[in-house]
Amino acid sequence: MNIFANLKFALRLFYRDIGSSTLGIVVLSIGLAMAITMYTLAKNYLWNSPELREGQPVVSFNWAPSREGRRGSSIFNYADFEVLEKNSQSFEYLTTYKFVKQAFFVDGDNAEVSSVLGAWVHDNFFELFNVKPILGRLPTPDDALASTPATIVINEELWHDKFNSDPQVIGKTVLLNGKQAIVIGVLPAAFQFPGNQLFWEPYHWQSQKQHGRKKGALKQWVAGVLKPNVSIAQAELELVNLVETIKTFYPKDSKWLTHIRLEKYGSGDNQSESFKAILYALIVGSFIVLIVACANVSNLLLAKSSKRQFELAMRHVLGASRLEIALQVLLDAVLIAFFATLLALLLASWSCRGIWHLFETHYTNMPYWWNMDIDGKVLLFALFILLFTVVASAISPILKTTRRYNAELLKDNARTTSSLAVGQTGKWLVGVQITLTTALLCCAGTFVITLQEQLDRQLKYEPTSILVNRYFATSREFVSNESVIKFYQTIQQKLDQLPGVEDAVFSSALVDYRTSYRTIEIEIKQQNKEDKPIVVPTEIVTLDYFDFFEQPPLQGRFFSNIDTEQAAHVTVVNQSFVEAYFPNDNPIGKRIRIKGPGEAWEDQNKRRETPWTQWLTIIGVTPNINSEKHLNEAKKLGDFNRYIRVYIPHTQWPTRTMNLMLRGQGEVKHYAKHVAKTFAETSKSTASYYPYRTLQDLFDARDIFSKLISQFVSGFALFTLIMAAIGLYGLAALTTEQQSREFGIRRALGAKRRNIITLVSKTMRLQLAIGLILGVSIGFALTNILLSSVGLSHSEIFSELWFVFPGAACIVLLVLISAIFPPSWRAANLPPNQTLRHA
Amino acid sequence: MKQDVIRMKGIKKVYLTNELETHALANINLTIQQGEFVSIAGPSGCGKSTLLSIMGLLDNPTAGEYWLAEQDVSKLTQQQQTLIRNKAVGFIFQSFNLIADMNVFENVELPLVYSGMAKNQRKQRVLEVLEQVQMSHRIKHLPNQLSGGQQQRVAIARALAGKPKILLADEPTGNLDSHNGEKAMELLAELHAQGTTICMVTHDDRYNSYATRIINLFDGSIVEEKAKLADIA
Repeated sequence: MNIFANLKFALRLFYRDIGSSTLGIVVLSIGLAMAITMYTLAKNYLWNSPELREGQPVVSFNWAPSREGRRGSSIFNYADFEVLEKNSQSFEYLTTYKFVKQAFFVDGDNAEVSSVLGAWVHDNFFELFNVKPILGRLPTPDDALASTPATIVINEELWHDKFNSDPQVIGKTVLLNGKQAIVIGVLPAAFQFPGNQLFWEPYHWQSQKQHGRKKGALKQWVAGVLKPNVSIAQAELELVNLVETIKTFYPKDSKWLTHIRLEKYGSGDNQSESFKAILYALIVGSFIVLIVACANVSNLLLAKSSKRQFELAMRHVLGASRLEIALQVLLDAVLIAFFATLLALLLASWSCRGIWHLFETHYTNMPYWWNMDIDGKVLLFALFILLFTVVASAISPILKTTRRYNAELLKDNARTTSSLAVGQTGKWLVGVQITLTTALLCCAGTFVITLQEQLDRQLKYEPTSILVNRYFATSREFVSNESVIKFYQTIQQKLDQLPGVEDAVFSSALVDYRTSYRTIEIEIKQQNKEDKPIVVPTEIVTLDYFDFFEQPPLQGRFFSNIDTEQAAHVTVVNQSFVEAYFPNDNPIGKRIRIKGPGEAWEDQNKRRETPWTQWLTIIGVTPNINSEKHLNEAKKLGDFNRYIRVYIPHTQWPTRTMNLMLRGQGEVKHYAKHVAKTFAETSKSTASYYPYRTLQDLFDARDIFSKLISQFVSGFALFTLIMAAIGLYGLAALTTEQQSREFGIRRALGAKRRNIITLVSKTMRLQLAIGLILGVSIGFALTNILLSSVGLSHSEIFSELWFVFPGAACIVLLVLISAIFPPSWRAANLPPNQTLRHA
Repeated sequence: MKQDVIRMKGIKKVYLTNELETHALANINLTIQQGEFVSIAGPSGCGKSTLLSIMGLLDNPTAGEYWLAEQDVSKLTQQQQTLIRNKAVGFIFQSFNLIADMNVFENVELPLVYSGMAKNQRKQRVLEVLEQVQMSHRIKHLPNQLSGGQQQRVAIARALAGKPKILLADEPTGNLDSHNGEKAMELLAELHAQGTTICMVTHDDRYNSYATRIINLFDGSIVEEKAKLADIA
């Protein structure tokens, strides 16, 4: 067997039929590229996790949810950790840590303060990882005990950014939220556990021990590395007993404890079920696309080998073995697959780079172990699919050519007209394509319309012209509540005076982006203590907050300078609140009280003995600021709680964490440096949490995954539709070519053009009908599963989007009819004498 | 004594289609000796091509015994038949059946490739047979760049390339005009004169005269055998 000669001949055929070869390559490469990209994207969310100890995964500890539908918690008390550390036999290492974001200030650093993500870590934290400092040393237990000054180890990236890679960095002092800390080591850039940490501070949790399991005790995360040969299930079983031990030690404060679940750190186990469902659906979608692409290429190869039947039969006659014939057919497929793989890898690498760029632009805290590299697993997967395509598409022609009796293929222009008619395999392959395309189009239509509806917010303000950021006024610099109030007032005044700035306000939440829910009590209405508690979004805002949205109050007044700490405590509610709780009543003058406004972990809130505020009088009603469209949709569904707002003035309930909203003339991002300078001039310990962005940027970052999904799903549907059309066109073209003699005879016998067109169309009618019916049914079922898994009411959506299903079937039908028409028309217009002479 | 190239005994071929039995060949007893030029004649549908297919191991008989080059080939596997076909049989078809994507040289070389012959030997042999059919000046041409007569000459060269025991020609002049048909037959006659065994199917009586023996087939049976006087002598 001369492989080189066979390859040379296959290449010759490849170039001779360059049109269909290119089509095959493009179709297969796009399908493959989509699958590779989708897999690469999904692996970050579903499977990637950091493996820091020679292949042993780090496992994280999580409390299981107390009830179905609720979320579990990954927050532990140090008391819990102590019990686990002392008694567990399943772990080689156990450690604890806490994420912190602190204002990082280096003396002589041009007075610039920036917010840096770090972690407070237990003294054995670094034992878990085989990490060695590139400069200095790792912390020791003594470092954690030394309260002042604190010691920190920093990441190489931070060393580069903040210290210009100064080799003399060890021993230098920095300010963390205004507190002094000495740099004792620099760790390699690759080490960033548990997230994107850039510094680590050894922390002495034992000092918090007196809190036990009580509320207010400092909480942290727990992670560990299992002993060799201990499975996650075995370890979880041991932890059941240890939870009982915790309950025995702290009977009062551990009533609600559930059991502990172990999850590979950073893997998909940490993602919500609905999120995982979407990702799995997308992977399935990309597989469908790939299957359709493979079916299409199989059909193309079938058609090509059908054209080669004579040549292959002749080879057989001249002494070629089955293997030789198989090789001939396989080489045809292998060439297409080979070039398709190269192109697919190129396309996938481009799309992966594009997605990575999107992630980098929009995600501020992307896990460091995420990547969009096309790894070995993906390549293996791609090669497996290609092998499958090659073999699957070659089997039929091989069997056809090497079967027992092949003299018929060599006869002169067969006595019958259909001796070379395309086989049933090709027709059913197209049938499969039609089914999958219709199903995918149904899913995509419903999904994309639903998603687009959700993304179309129809806001009452222009989010692109609002600059936002978040700040924390440290207790070290701003000791009293008054100083916090004054700090934000001062900043606000300074910002208002900046040239071009129209308005600047602060709020504990961020309109349409971030809310915090609090339990409230309405006086008189809730006299019965058994009443279900009312939990609504609350916002602590600076006094002129409502001026920012330029909407006058519907009733009463907004906050003003008279609403000081000493004055009677007041609140403003929004229209939705009134509709929910005072539908036929005047809310002005009514009173409510709130459980602990502000951030629960802030000092002033932790120390508060009574969780309720004093009674707050409603002084005004503001129009709803949030998206009216979403509110109306929520009202239709009977649950608009998240659009209710209770506002309280910062002067009466100061909180340290506030979000800035600034509007100015021209490009609002240009004000960022002036805002940063204003903060730096006012405080050496307050840094912005994130880079300065517009509100629209935040929405975009939040929507990025939804938009990506939407684009992927639309892309899948469009691509499969095009492929189905190409497949059907190819089949119809081949059928008409092979049956041209029959059509010639029919035309000679008096058949009209439309008879021929109908005849060609009829060859695929069964597959078309079955494909459409099956496709709509499968699409309906898949959409149902998908919408249910993401928590959407499918009955509601189906009642509004019923048209998608017949619409998808009609689109597929129209496109496919358009695909069949050109070859049918061509066949109908061939002069009968010509077809009879040449056929 | 001359060797029997083909020996058939009681060969039958029955096709089963939709529970209908079609007897293509019935009790064929036939021997072709080395150096013979046998012409099989008969009306359309009498089983000529079926008989040729069985002779060329492209089809198996339903019953009967068949020896090709002194070897019983009735019960061989397809793989074994392929090997024998490659070594012992050369085919010439009515429509030439040259592979359109291969040039003249490659077409003629193909059976030698499958026989495993070394490249140098192949080249030498291909040039030799192309010289024999006077087509060596067209080795780089593709089939569609040749006339019908030239194509058939190339097809004959391909059939000859493997030095087969017998040439099986199925209506070799069927697609040629009378002039080219005549020339093709002259070439076959010349090959026969050089010692090649030929079995030809034709329904053109003009060309029966080139054969040393004429077998008439009708409804799947041999109804008449005529040998030329010179050969009888």
